[in-house]
Amino acid sequence: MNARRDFLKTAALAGGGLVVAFFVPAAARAAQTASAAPVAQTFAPNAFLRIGADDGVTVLLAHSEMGQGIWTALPMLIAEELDADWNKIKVEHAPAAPAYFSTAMPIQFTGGSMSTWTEFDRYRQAGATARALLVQAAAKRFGVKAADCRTENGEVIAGDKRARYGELVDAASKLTPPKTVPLKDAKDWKVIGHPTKRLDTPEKITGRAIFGMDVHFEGLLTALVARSPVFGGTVRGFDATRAKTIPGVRDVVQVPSGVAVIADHYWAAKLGRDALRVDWDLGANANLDSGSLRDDFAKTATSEGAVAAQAGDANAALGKAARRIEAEYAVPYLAHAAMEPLNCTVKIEKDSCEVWTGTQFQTLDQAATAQITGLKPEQVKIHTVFLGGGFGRRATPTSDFVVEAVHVAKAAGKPVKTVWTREDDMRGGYYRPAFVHNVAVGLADDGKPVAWKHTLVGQSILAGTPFQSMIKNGIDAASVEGVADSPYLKEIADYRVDLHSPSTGIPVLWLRSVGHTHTGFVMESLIDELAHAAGKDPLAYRRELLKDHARHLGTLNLAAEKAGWGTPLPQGRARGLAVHESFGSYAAQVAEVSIENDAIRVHRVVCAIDCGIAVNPLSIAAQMESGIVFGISAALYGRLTLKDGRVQESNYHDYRVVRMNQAPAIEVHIVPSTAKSGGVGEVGVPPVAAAIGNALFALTGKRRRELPFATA
Amino acid sequence: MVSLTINGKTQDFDVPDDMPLLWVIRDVAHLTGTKFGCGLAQCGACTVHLDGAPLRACVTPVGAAAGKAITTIEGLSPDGTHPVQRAWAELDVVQCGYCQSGQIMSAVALIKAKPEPTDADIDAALSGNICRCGTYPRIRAAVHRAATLAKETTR
Amino acid sequence: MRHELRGLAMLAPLALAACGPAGPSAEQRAAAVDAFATVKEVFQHPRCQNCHIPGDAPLQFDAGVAHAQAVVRGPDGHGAPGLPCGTCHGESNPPASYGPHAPPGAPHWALPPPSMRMVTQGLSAPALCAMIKDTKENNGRDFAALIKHVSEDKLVLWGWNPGGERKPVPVPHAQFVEKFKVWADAGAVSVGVTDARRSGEMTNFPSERPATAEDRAVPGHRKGDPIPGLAGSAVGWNARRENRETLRVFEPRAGTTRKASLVPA
Repeated sequence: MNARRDFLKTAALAGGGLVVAFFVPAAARAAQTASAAPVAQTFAPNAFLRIGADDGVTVLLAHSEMGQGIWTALPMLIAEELDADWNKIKVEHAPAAPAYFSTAMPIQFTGGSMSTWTEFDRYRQAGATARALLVQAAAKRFGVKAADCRTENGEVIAGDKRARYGELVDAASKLTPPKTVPLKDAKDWKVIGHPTKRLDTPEKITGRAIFGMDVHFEGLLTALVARSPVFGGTVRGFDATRAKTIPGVRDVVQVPSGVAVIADHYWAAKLGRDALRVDWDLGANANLDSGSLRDDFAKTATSEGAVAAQAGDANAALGKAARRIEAEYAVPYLAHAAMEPLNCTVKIEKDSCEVWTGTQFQTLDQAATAQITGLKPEQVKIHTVFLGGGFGRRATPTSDFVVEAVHVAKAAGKPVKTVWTREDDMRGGYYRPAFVHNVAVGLADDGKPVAWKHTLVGQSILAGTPFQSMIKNGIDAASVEGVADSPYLKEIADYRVDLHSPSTGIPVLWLRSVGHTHTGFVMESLIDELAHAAGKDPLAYRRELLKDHARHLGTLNLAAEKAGWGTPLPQGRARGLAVHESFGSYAAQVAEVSIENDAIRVHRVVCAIDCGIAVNPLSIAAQMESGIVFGISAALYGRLTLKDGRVQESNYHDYRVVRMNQAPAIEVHIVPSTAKSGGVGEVGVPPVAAAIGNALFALTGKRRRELPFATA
Repeated sequence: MVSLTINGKTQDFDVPDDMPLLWVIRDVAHLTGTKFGCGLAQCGACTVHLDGAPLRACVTPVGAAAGKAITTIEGLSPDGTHPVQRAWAELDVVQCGYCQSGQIMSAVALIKAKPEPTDADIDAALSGNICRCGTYPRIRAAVHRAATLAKETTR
Repeated sequence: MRHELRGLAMLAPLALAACGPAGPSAEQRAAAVDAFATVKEVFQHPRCQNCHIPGDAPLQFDAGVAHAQAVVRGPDGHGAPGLPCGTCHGESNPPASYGPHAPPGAPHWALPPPSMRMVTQGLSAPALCAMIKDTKENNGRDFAALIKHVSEDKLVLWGWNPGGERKPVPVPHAQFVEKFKVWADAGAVSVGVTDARRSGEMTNFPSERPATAEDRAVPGHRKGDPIPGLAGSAVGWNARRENRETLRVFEPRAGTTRKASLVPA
């Protein structure tokens, strides 16, 4: 689960010229747009908030809001310590600047379900620092000791004296921030842990919210890029004669990734691109076929690879085991298919460049832009706008969609918004890699596993990127997370996890819950297989195996209890169970399924989550719902296929996702915890495919080892 | 030249008749609340109302909308207080938010056609709107809530 | 749900007038049976049968897969309240620039209303023949009305100009209408099982069934397996895929006054 974190550390270093900076208030202030005036109208004690004379508290987000709810959760952390008036909170995405580097690594990014827990201390400290200064300023004004002041709802109060924060802005901004500030005791929290509604709702229900696609200013043109139909293909030549006759088309330029048609608006650019003729050199990947790849992977999976984890002698123990279960599992390539197709707006000037986009990777995008434009990173201003879904696609090590847009704007010599069509987005690569798992498990007489040999075959996300050096001893940790560190393996004396990371030419990337997307499915389906082989109830069997794993057990028991595990169901329905740890949190799910008209129907999913301290229970529930629906799409429908090097799917009609009529009722139960917070955004995804598959086994007696389940 | 009445305002647009209404709304009228998601009427993010009936703007030639009343999310209510919007806020429906303009416009059309929709009605009317964040359970609850709010409003 | 079929003697007056009280000659009958094969080909082309479906969920594409947005017939055939067909399907096919997969369009795009479902999907020739004549299925339309529907209805005509990469109905429209008239004029003879067997239409014996359930989900693979009896009579079973309701198909002996039937088994 630390794969991305490690990667990012290295990426930032390897990226060239990225400063490893830590939080420095002075630098932070410089990064802000508001400047200090003789009589300060704004109090900005650090990079994360500023308070205006109008009492408004503006919180600057070091991370991107892509639906996961940090637009609300991070302000909650500040509001808690600041004792702010919640109605006065405003939120902005921070600019790209070292002040906003993650606390976990020197880079500004959003991913790994890390935003809330990595900011838990920093944002609280930011609020507490501001509060301390406001109290100091008020104490001076009141003529009392700071210790005699209290704060509440955006005011400093001492006896019958009151001052709104806005009134203290000027005085507070002339004070020196204390080096350390005490934070509230958990028992005194008034905001953290309380279900809090989203702050971005008003603009998102009125159409006012600005996503990358919505960026507009005078003189902005729109581009569509013709890209190779085969990954890695290059432009041999092109004929833009007809394209240039389309009304509204302004220019046609070649860029490294293809040929861009630049026009007054999307539709003209689209018609222009339709009229464009490009002669492609398809390169080496014109024969790629996902079916053959799957067969190749399956063959490879029978041989030993790089060792990702091992203990004892798995082969010997397998030979001695009373019984042996062998299984091959497989998952296909998946597209993120976020609702907002990729896009990026770029305006290049002599000494600066501005980029507007929904990105998860500000620092890398900034560095890449700087490199292309010949500017310094600090001359590149990244405006993060709302992301119409991210799911990992907007965090590419190559900054692909930003890099391309910068090339387009550079070649055009004008500000350009480069927009991808849905088909471009679907066929543009950067998929969840396909994987085949080959597993042999030895069981003892009592039905418990005593030997485990597990071989995974699938592309490394880091291989072929500039960060290949991250792969240690042949292991990309993101390929084996969820298997190599499985709690089940920890209880076995003899196991071995092998990994093959073939190269295929297909660009791959993390997709919401990364390696856990397949390892959660495989491990929890396997455990179910073992339970049935042992003749034991899947819940009872897991309880035995996980008896020393309290947090797994806690979620498992809660989900089972709330789902009524073991109680009768209507005829034709069955339940399945799964529990999986990812991103520092634990989720268990029980799915109720039936087969109706030859189609799998998921009626209900009951989820228990232990994510440590639950900062905003309302958004944690929402994220579990979200992860579950996302996971059902992958479990039932998600599959990208390649034939003759070309991606066959193109839009939602042939790359199906869950719609309203297929969405189950979902119940989420949060395990009360005072443990350090873990992740939330991705944690709901990994168990659901296994829970469904296990329910289908209970229903039909047929074990499903390949995703998507598609048809009954 | 096409004359369109969007949210009660009539304006001439110098665009070809067969340009999709969506791109006239977004890129020419600069009303960006109506979203582009698929271009094929697959996802419903571009839903607007034409003379009160729902319409996928991405596959509708602008010529077909001339002379008719177009309502976009921006024109649904002056201040975001349409019963459907209020229900969306109450139930904390949105996540990334990109599909929600379309979801809301579809929900408004449903409640107009069926003031007390059942779950089956919601399935039938809203399965044309995709949400990759999976807000469906909350949308379902919010549609029921909006139906109640709408009745209270008209009472 | 009972599907009463009219026997020869009870056919629509229009048809009867054309062929006289004695019924069609053997020659006329053969021509009518032959013409009906064309009628069937058209009725069961994806352009037509994707909406002439049992249940309420239409199909789409040449492969006849479930319509992606889970749209339904609705109270009047024009879709669910809040999601009328016209939300996506305009008055005409979209411009080619919208791409081959943009929703096609024609005036009054709709499914048949619930009162006149005219289910054609997957029916054998005898069953289809019976269905067309079933006034409960066609909402009391006489042959004049049916001929007008297949000749002039703009949505029907769309089947010959479906746009995109959709396959148009392969039989020229005029030829189809002519064949429909030939069949109707011959008294809309009941196409019997033997006729169908002879024309190679009904060959779907259990031994020839697709091996897997998945393949059987392909339209056309759910024909009944009629057991031929004396003088063109037959009995068989047909299943409605959407609800697995089993229907008994009964085709009476030629020349008898017994009615053909399609009833729940």
